[in-house]
Formats: sequence, structure tokens, C-alpha cells
Amino acid sequence: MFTELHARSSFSFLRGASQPEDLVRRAAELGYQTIALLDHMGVQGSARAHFAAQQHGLRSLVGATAELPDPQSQIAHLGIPLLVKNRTGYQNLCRLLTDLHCADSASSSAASPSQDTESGTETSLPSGFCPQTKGLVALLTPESLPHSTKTSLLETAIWLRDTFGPENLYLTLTRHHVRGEERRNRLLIDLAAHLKLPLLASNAPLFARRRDRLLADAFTCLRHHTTLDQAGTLLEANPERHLKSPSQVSSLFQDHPEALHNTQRLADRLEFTLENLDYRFPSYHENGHPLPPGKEAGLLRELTFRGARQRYGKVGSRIRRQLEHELALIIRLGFSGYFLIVWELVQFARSQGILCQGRGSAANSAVCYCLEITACDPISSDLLFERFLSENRKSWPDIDIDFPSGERREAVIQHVYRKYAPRGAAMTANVITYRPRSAFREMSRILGFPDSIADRFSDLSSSSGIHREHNGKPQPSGLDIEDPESGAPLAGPSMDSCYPKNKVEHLEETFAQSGVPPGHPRFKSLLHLYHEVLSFPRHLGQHSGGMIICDNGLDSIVPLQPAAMPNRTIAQWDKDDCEDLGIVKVDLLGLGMLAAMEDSLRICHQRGKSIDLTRIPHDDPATFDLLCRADTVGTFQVESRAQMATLPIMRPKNFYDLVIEVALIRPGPIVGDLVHPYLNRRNGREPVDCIHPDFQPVLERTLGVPLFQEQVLRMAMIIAGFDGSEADELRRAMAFKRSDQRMENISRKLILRMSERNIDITVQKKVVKSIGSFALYGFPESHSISFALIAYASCWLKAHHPAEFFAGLINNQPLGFYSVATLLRDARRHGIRARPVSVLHSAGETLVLDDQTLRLGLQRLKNLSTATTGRLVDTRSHAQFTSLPDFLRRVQPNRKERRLLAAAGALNDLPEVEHRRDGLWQVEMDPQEDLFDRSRVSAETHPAKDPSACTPPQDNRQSATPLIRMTALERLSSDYATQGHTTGPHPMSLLRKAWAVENQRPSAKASPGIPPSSFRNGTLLRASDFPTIPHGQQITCAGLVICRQRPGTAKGHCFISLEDETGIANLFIPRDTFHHYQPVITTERFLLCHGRMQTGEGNLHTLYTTAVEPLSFPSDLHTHSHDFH
Amino acid sequence: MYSSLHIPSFPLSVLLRDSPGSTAEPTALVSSTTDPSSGTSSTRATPLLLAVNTAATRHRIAPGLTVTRALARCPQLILLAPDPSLEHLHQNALREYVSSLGPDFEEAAPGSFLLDLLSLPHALTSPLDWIEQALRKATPLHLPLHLAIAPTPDLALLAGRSRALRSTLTFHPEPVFNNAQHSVFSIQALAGLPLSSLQTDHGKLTTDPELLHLWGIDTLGALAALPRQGLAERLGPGATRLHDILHGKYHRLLNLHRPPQQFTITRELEHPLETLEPLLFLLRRGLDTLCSRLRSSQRATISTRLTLTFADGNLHLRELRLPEPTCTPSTLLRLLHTHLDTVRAPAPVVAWSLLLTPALPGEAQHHLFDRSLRDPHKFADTLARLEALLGPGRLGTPRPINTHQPDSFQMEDPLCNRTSRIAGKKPGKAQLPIFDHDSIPTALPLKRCRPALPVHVACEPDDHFPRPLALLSGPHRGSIAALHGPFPLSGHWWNPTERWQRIEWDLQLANQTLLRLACQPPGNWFLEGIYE
Repeated sequence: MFTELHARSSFSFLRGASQPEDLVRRAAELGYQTIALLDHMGVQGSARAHFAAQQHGLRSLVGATAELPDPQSQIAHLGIPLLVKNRTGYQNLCRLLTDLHCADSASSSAASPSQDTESGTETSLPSGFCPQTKGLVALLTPESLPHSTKTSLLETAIWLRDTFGPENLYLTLTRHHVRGEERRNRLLIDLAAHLKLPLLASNAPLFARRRDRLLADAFTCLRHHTTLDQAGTLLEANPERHLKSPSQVSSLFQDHPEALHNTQRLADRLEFTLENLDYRFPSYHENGHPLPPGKEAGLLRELTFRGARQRYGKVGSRIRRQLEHELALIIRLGFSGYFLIVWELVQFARSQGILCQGRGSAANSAVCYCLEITACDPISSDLLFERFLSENRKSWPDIDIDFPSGERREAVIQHVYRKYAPRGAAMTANVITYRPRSAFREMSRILGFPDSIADRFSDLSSSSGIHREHNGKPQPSGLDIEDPESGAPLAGPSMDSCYPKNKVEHLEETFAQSGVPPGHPRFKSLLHLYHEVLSFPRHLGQHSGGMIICDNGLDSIVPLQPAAMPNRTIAQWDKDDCEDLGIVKVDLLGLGMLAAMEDSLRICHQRGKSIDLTRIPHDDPATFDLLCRADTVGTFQVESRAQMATLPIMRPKNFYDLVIEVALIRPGPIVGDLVHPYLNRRNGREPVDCIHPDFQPVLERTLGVPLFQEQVLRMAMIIAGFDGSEADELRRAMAFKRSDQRMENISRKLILRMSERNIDITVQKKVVKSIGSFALYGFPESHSISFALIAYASCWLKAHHPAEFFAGLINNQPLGFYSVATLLRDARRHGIRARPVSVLHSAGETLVLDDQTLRLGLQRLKNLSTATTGRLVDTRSHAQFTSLPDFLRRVQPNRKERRLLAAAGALNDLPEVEHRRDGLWQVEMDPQEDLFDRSRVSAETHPAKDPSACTPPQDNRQSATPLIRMTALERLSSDYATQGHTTGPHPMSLLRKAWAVENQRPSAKASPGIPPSSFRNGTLLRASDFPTIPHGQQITCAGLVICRQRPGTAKGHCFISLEDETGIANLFIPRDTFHHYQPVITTERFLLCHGRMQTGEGNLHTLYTTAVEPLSFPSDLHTHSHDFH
Repeated sequence: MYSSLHIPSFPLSVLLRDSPGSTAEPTALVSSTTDPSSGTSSTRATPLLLAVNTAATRHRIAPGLTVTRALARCPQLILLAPDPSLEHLHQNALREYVSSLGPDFEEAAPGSFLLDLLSLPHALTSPLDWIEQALRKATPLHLPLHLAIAPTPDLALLAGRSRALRSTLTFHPEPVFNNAQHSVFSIQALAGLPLSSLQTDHGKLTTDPELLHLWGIDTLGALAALPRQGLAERLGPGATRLHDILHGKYHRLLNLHRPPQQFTITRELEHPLETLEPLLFLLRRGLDTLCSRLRSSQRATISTRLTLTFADGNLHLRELRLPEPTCTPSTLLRLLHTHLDTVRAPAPVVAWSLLLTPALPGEAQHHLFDRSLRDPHKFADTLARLEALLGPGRLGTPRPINTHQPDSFQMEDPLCNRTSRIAGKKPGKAQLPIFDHDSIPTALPLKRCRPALPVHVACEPDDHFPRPLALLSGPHRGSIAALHGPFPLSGHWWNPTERWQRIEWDLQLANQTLLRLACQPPGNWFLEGIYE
């Protein structure tokens, strides 16, 4: 019986052309009992293979193909497949791979050759590298030494035998029907006889089926940065490297039965699978020593009740009962240490003055609330603790903590690295997979198409929604590409059977619009490869904040590798794999809004207004007024156009209304058609329907509409009798990733159980529909409360401290939905003026001068270096600049920075700089140094000590500038070019005047800037005019596009926000209109739109657009819009 | 005094010239992209508009826009790709036209000429008449022509591009004859011209255009109005030169156009020739003359093109390439002689022509004491003889192609390859990866059958590959005693027209003969070769 012990999957990154699950499924079809996945330099695919093997009743063995340094050469590497025998072997493999990855990283960045023990990353292999090989079996294959000679093969075999032991080295024979391979096999057979080493048979498959060879060839091209036309012999000669059946391989190696038998014998020796991972979460350390479990429990109890007294004042019976219940479960499940470790992280952040707040299901826990990990009280909100932790849950609880993004969060992450150094902590990986745009780009490139075609596809797909249509796992394609061997169409279902016909046609149309028509000879190849590669892994990235930690060396649990960011390492498994394998993850997430709020609070404090966000009233009328009038630009979660459209209808009156608002405008409820029923019921237009009488207590708070995950879980438990583990299964299926198959399975189970219980079909349908809606990311209630807390705080800040609020936002860009230009415009509507950047008055960041005035910071200037900014502020702190030469001499900005400052008008406040162009003229003259003026040198060095040295230098201007002052239009362009926004008039106010002049004359003629419009007889209305226009009236408006959206839930319709000098106008573009004007809508910055006014519920005014045309701005304005996110 | 003759948007104008209907339609010239199926290298640039016609500008379309944005603004926009051959054709016609106006002129750019009027007294004395005459002569070109006269070459060029001079008949040249008003006239006439018009001139814009834009200097007039001293202090001497040009203070010499020297000779014979000897005698004389001309211009020749005209009207054309540039008549004659020995003339020769392609004399010597070939011209002579024997296109150096497809190669002209080495060029991409797919030495050499011999084979079907049992036809028949394989090979699956596949077997017949057999599905068998 043959066993395949050297398979590679797509997680070998551009080396294997089948997903681990496909390989395992195929192995099961072919009758294998065991299969070993030996991916290149890692075990990234092992977890997926392990669970797929469990599903198919196979045993998935673990190993990897390691690039070991060749002892005979300083440069070459040996690609040695290594199989894991036991847990020790697995630990050694992980450490070996970690060493190799860290050494690779060190050799590629020779700038930091030292060992960084603090962060736990080693940076180079020790000389005379000798890995721990106990528990590992090595295979010497023909591919290990691609250019092998008899001597080198012998030397390598002896080295491997000495390193791994004679019983742990096998010489592997492969037969791929390639001329010349028998000669290499003969060498290996002779060598085996000479050294008395066993032989092993293998087909070393790179893909599951013959047809996957096409993708393997494509990956080969990508790996070698070449095209299919130029790859030549780099490509496979034939498709024989697929997973062959045991009988096929047996017939191939009839002449070497011992090599076949050895595969089975070796497989029997390999005991280890990922079942035996033996991961243990670290214990809590006190004074450098780990606490035993009993003491951990005691400490947790003590801290919890101490926190409870602080939080609640008096711990009543209800609170005590809940805390005791939670603590009992936590201690019984052995999670005390976990809570303490997270508590310690939060304490560290607080000690550093870093804002933080737990989110997600952790907010369901009163213990977390008392430990100050979360900020919302689950007892008063009546939240379900079992959503966070229950007896039946197999996996660890998940605590996500938000920190201010940027350096503050990095400080916490580095604290974790330091605390568990060396190699005790790592970020989880994020497997970057092929999405439609990357798939098209790379596949078209290897087929030889120019990049411009891929650019066009990207443009078209972003607006046509292709990138959203393929979010799930792709179906097998099986286009009529002929099998190169048989000439017959490739096996597999036809494309039409896998994709709805209209989607195929849509895709083909997009291909054609991109420049690859169906008649093109390579069209079919491109379409086939495009479909095949979708969702294949491309490379490993790092998760946005997921960290895993381990007491006894994380590198013995999973190989680690350096991340792209300095001082960070990542594990080779993503967060789902970690969760599946029981590895605890703590999410340290970055939230830009927290950083902005932290800044706002700091500015308030500096201005003598100390604010504690935990103590702000949650029933503040001004805040709810702001929410009701949708004045939420810049706030958290409720600033999007959809949220702003709902707020006037919803009219939140209390905090829980805001919680619902946050949860309501999500893809899940929108797709599930839950928004309108909720709003109708809230406004009394529709009776409350709880689907089933048993759901009354669960759905009452949300008027019968299931908005939260907890509600859905409880519904499943009530109506289908799901137990805790089944509910947990449902919860995981509802997670927004990798859920298609899981959702299908769980829905089937749900229907079956409901049918068994004779539940009415209508109710069944409603329940399944409600649950299905959450497949597109619905919120748990606790998460919604956590977000609503931040949303409320941001609205409160905007209502009461708008100047500080806007300054905080501007200092933490990019952030949120709107650009700085829109934020400044909104600030102006709130009576806050922003003063421009000035070298005399601006600091690095934006300052609040008074309640009505901001001073923009130097960091708003694009490409002004941090060093120059620091120098400017520092120099100015000693003595104010007295003239432009004085400024240039002391700050020494480079030529580009000088121009930047002058063009932005930042020099205008200096004496003798009359206007921007005057500054531009003057800065081009290099400052003339007076070598003998000692007093000036002294002033630069010690300005404070020598006040006389601060006298203004003599005026050396010979004459006035010959350059003319910038026009308003030029100033505007310059502002946008240097900063991306302006403190002057809105571009539309200039365009409007010009448009009126050009288009409303009886004989309007084309002019270079403002051409005549087809709507020239109409009146160009402003955003502020919308409320005054009656419903149904035909109007024309124009503005700067700040947002284009075409969500997957919108059935092809498009939403555009147009900004002008008076506000933001909302446009609705019906699908047909969008298709008709798509190029204009997606490419133009200023639009002139015609349509009829629609006044909807909540007195919302929207332009139902029927025609669109571009509005040319006389110069190229560098505006930014939030498009198709 | 100089006259500039300029065709605005020359590449687009020549395209529109032949399709007058499209001038009314919005039309634009785009930078081209290539198609992979054409086999050319791909370009990564986004296609941009290079030039647009007046109808297109009415739709807010301007050069520099991307094609996507342009089509968004005007879906009916006609996009044209540049046609270098057409441009070349019209450039020749323009050159001929300008040379008919005067002998001393410069080809400033495609579609742009500078004519020195100092040698044309008529133009200086009555310029209006001369302009009318010049424009009349230009009528057959059917191209929009701008004509301007100015005191310096660069001013004339700039004036030719000025919008103010679009209508040449309204041009009033008197001010240019008044020295006192030179600068005034120049600046006024050029004031509206964008700075970018300086980019293609001899006085190239050496200053950062972005800075000038920041200064608000978008036209030549604005630049000319800046103080010279201030410009010099800030932008250096390049800017002062520009300033001088605009003020008519910089007067450069024209790079005069001279027609390329032709190394050709053609003779029509009074008496038709029927034998080779007199023809060779005449060719020798012709070669002597041409080689003298080559030597006098420090040139040699790299190829000789012979044309014979026969009495029945037929022509015989032949280009003979040389391994190294030479200007020795005897060497050239020897080549011609070798070639003519193989020519069978259908009728007596009534005319002959020789054209030598000029090249720099070869000076390469690759070995220390010797050349790579002792006598390269003898080698060329041998090649010529071989080609005469084998026929055209059957001589060359076979180069294996980097592919799994067995025995695939391409023929390369040995001389072509050699001359490129002499010229110091790196070999092309296609020549770099020389791959021998049989690089792993086998015990036996294979004598290939070229082309492979079709044979009939008795075979038994297998799951994947047919298994041969006996050879039924061909030079080696009999049952198969031993079999090694199969070796399935396939490739180019991405290209329907080039897709290929085959299955190879090595076999031994009962008589010990070792053969290589190949099967091309569905059932075409070939004897590929014999192992020796």
C-alpha cells in the first residue's frame, strides 16, 4: 500500500496549485488513509489540511520542506522535506523554520545584524548551524539538489545521515515521465545501497488534479517574474505531478516494492498530528514567577470585587450573583490566568495614559467590566454572558481591545513582545488571497497583456461590483480549455453550472471593456486562470491586531517569521486556524477615533477643561439633538451617508437607541431587509411581530426584529433546541469569513430540527432568513454597545467641544469617512474658522486658538519632513523669525520644502513677504551667509543667551517681486496641491460663478475652462437649497464628489455625495442611469447632475438623478473622494 | 532672417489628411499599447491622448487626458494610433517642399522646418509675395501649414507655433524689418504661447517647469517679462539663455539639412549582355567607383544589393550581406561572382544596378593575435556558395528554443549574428537562454530523422498513453522487444494555435535496433530517431 508523504499545497506560495482542503478531499477520493503535507518553509496549510482530513476520515501528517544551508557551499540551499515523528520533532521543526526565516530576514536587512533579544527576534543563524533534529525524518529527493553530481549527492546524503540519523533519512524516488529522471533515480538507488539507507516512493504532487497544472504553470511564471511565453522549460513538461492514486504509483514503482512498502512503514512511524499540539496559555506572572492556578483564581476574584466596588459603589446581590456565576465558570474552565493577563495589558496601557476599551463579546462579561477591560455594564444592559463564555464552548473566549491607532497601540504591542520574549508572542498571520483585481492583474500579466488592461479592469470592477460578487470561495470553473494531454475539455462542471449566467456574461463584458474581447485567442485562458486563482493564498501578511502568546516558547507551537514592520514577528497561522487549534488570541486593535478623541481630550485639558469620558452624561440633550439632525460628520460609526440618512428617521432618544442605530445600518440587517421593518415599527406604522410567541422575551427590545447575534443564538436555542455547542457552531458560522459552507450546514440542521418540532413553515423561513442575514456580518449586542459608547462620546465632544473635536480629527488623519477638506467645511458650518499654516504661528499639529478658531499644523503640508518641522518649532521656541532670510538660515529647509512652504502661503506672515508668489520668488535665492558675522552665529547656537543677536538682519531685498499675486483660483489649486484642502472659498463657489457667466448668456460659447452645458437653461442649485425644493421638481445641481458608493446590497444603484460651498447634497443614481453615465460618474471630480427632488421620510432630500455630465475645473485640483469602499 | 514652416500636431494632421470626413468628428491621437498575441513586448504605460482636433476640444478633451476619462467625456471620440510610416512619408514630402523654397534649411522636428532667408533675396525684399508664393506651393500637401518670419531661428520656430499666426495670410511682417522693434514684436507675438512649446526646441527648457508654473509663468510672454538678472540669480545660465532667445538676442546656427549620400550606381546597357565575363567587368568598374566614394566619406559597406534587369522585363534582386564592413572592390566582386555563378538568366541582361549600404569600418578584433575568422569574407563566400546549393532560407545557425518541445529550433543568419557582435550589441532576449533539453547526457547519441518519419505502429490502449507493440512500416520494422517510457510532453496550452502535445517512447526492436518513437494524438506515430 502506498502513502503519499511529500505533497505540497497552495500554502507553499506559488509552488503548489491546490488548496490543502482540495488535496485532502482528492486523497480521500483516491482511497488514501494518510497524507503528508510538506509545504515550502512552513506549516501554513497544515491546520486546514488537518481539519479537512478529520472531516474525510484521513490522517494528515505534518512536515515542511526546509531550505537548509548547504554545508558544502556558502550560498546554496538544500530543499529537504522534513516529516514530523512526534511532538518533540514538531517543536524542533517549528524552531528550525523560525531560525531559518529570521536568518533570511537578517541577511536581507544587513543594516541590523545584531540580536534583538528584547523583541524576541533573532537576526542571524549561528555559525556552524546545527539544528535540533530529534523526532524529524528527512527525505533526500531529486529536487533537493537540482544540479546534483554523484559526489555532491554522496556528501549531502552523508551529512543528512549524520544530522538526522541513518534511520531517519530516506532517499526518495519520483517518476514523472520525464526523460533523464531514471538516471537520477539510479544514482539514488546506488547511493541507498552504498550507505544502507532506505528508499521511498513518491509522486511529490504539486496539485490535486491534472488540470491544475495550468495554474501551477501560472504560479511558476509569477515566481520567476516572467510570462508564459518566455518561461520555456521553467514550466512543467507534463501534468504528471498531480496526486495519483495508490494503485497508479504502485504500478510506477513495481520494480522497487521496498520503496512502496517503506511509505507505509514510515507513515506508521509518524505519530504526530495537530491533535497533539499541546498548547498551553501562559500563567499570570507575579514578581517574575508564574502563579499556580489556585492563586490565579484568588487574585482574579480579589481584583474583580475590588473593581466592582469602584464601578458600582455598592455591590448588590444581583451584581454579586452575576460576578460569582461568571467567576465560577472562569475558574472551572481554567481561564483565570487569561483574564489576569488581559487585565495586566489594560493596566499597562492606563499607566501609560493610553485610552483603551474592550469590545466584542467580552462586553457581555461583568468580570471584564469590573476589571476595566470593557466599558459597558452588562448587568444593567441585561447582556447574555453565555455569548462570551459557556460551559459548552470548545474554544477560548475572545477579548478584543481597542487602542488609539499608531504609536500608542504599538507601545502596547511591543510591551507584549518584551514581556514574553524571546519568541513567546507573535501577531497572527493574515493570509492574503487573490481577489478579483489581483487575480486579473497577475494572470493577465503572465499571459503577456499590458498593465493598462489590468488598470482598466480595476477601474471597471470597482464600480461594477465584481470585487464584491466573488467574496466567497470560488466555484470550480472548468472552462472549455482543452486538456493538453487528451485534447478533451478539462473535467469539471461547466462554468455556467457554477456561476449564474448573468454573472458570467457580466464578467465577460468587463473583460471585453478592459481590452480582452471574447474573440481574443487568450481570452479563455485568462478567464480560466482568473477563476481558478480566486481565493488562493498569495502571501502571508499580519493580522490587524491579533496576538498569540505562549509561556514556553511560541516557536515550539508554530513557526514564526519576521513581519514587514520592524520588531514584529508573525505566526504562520491565521486567526481562524489559531482558534480552531485552541490557541488563545488577544486582539489589540487600533482605532483611529480613539486616537482622535485622546488628542481632543488632551487639547481640552491644555485649555483648562479636564474631561473624563467615563463620567459624561448618557442623556445629554445637545448630543441627541446633534444625532437627530444627522450633524454627525466626523463622528464614530454614525457618520456614513446611510447612517446620516437613518438618524432623522430613527431620532434616537436614549443610549440604547444609538446602540440599535449602530447595529441597524450594517450589511447584515440591510440585506436581511430588517431596516425598514424596524423603523416602521418604531414609528408606529407597522405592528410589532416577534415571529413566534416564544421569541417575545428575546426580541421585545428590538421590536421583533433580530438585530444582534445573541438574539439569533437564543432564537435557535428556543425554536430548534440547539444546545450550547450547536449555538457556538452557529456563532462561528456567522463570522464573516470562511462561512459559506458552514452556514449552509448549520441552516440545514436548523431546518431539520424545526421540522422535527413541527414549527410552521412560515416561521421556519423567517428564522432561517434572519440567521442568513448575519452571514454578512451582524453585530453582537455587546459589540454594538461598545461601539455606541465611542460613537456617543464622539458626538458629545462634537456637540460640546467642537473646536477640540475637529483638531483631534485633523491631527489623526487619515481617519473615517471624510477628508480634511470636508471636515474643515463642516467646522466652518459650526462657526469654527481654520487659519492657514504659518511658519510663525503653526505648531506641528493643528492647534485650538479659541473656541472659534483653529490654526492648522505644519503636518498638514504634504512632504514637509518631520525633521524640518521639528527644527522649525524648536528654533522658533528660542526666538521668533524676523525675516525670510532669518527663517531660511535657521531652519534650513531644502529647496522643495521652501517652495512648498511658500506655495502654501505658510511664509506670508513673515515681514517683507507680500504674497505667496513673492515668497516663491524670494526662496529661490540661496541665503547669503556672512562668514564674519559672529553675533549671528552666536544667535543660532545660543539665542537665549545672547538677546542682542536676535536683532533682525539687514534687508537685502533689492526690489519688489516681478511675479504677480496668485488669483483666488490659483490659491485654491495651490492649497489642494500642498495640503489637500483649503481654508479659503470652496472650489464650487468659484465654479458656480464661472458657470453662471458662461452658460446663462443667450449665446453661450465654449471656453477652455467652463464649456456650455446641456442644462444651461436651468438654475444651478446649492445643497442648502434642497430643503426648500418641493418633491418631484426637476432641478440641476453641481458639486465636488466626496463620496461614491455602490454597496452590494444596493442592487446596482449608486449613491453620491456632492459637496458645495453650502453643504453636502445627496444623490441617488438609479442602476440604469449609472450604467449609462458610468465613465463620467467614476472618473470625474466635479459633476453637474440633473434630476427630480425626492423628499423622503425624516424630511430627507435626495436628488433622483436622471442625467450627469462632467464639470471641468479650470485647473487640475487634487481632491480626494471616498469611493466604492 | 528666418522662416519657420510648421504643421501643428503633425502626427494627427497626417492621419486626418487622408480621412477628411473625420476632421469634423472629435478625434484624438493616443499612445499605443501592444497586444500579447502579436508577440511584441508589452508596454506598461496607461494610454494617454497625445493630440486632439478642434472638434474634440469642444467636448472638454485635451492632450494628456487618459483614454478612459476622454471616452467618459465624449463616447463618440475617434481614437487614432500614430502611424510612423505615414509620418515618414509626409515628412519626406515636406522636406521636398521646403527644399524647393530654398537650399539652406533645418529639420527642427517632425513637421517643423526652419529656412534661412538670407540666401533668398526675393523673400527679403518682398516678403508678402514670397509668403503667398510659398503657401501656393504648399497647397498640394493638403496639410495645415503655419508660416512665420523672424530675425532669429528660435523666434521663428516659436512664432510658427503661435496661435496668433494661425492664419498666415493675415501675417504682417513689416515690424521684423525694423531692428528697433525686434524684441517688441517677438514678445507680443509670442506672449500667448505656452511654455511647453519651448520643450521641443533647440533652446530646451532647462528650468523646472513646475517652478515656473508655481510662479504663474505659463506663457513665453510672462517668462520674457521677468528680469534677466533675477532669473540668472535663481535659475542659472540656462534661464538667461531662454530669456535671450525670447528677446531675440540669441542667434544660433542652423543645423543645415544635407541629403544623405547615395552609394548606388545604375547602368542601362546599349548592348544586352549574354555572358558573365563582361558583366563582371562592368560590375568591377561600378564597385571601384562606389568604393572610392565610400572611402572618401570614411565609410565601408556591410551589404551589397544587386539588381539585374533582363531583356524580357524580369528582374533579379539579391542582397549579399558581409561578415564585416569592407570597401575592397575585389572582396565585393568575389561575392558577386560566386552568386552570379549560380544564377540562370532567362534573357540577356539589359541593365544593372548596385547599391552599397554604408557602415562604419569594422575595427573589432576579438582575439589577441588573430581575428575570430582568419578571412571573414572567405567565410561569407562559402556561405554564399552553400546557399546557392541549398536554396534560399535553408542556411543558418540552428538555435534551440527554450521549450520542452523536442527538436524545436530557429535558424539564425550566421552573418547577422556576427555583425551584431561586431557592433558590440548584446544578444537579444530570445538568444539568451540557450537551453539544451537533452542536457543530461545519455549513454547513446541520437541520430534524429528530420523531418520525423511517419510510421504505422501496432499498439495497445492504456489508461492514459497508447503502448506500442510493433512497428509495421518505415525503415525499421518488427516487434518491440523492450520499451522505455512513455515521456508525455505538452505545452503552449494558453495559445490555441500553438498548443502541442506528444508522447515519446524509447524502444528496442528484436534486431537490437534502438529507436525513439513519438505519438501525436490521436494516433499519428513518427520515428523520431535512431540511437547509435
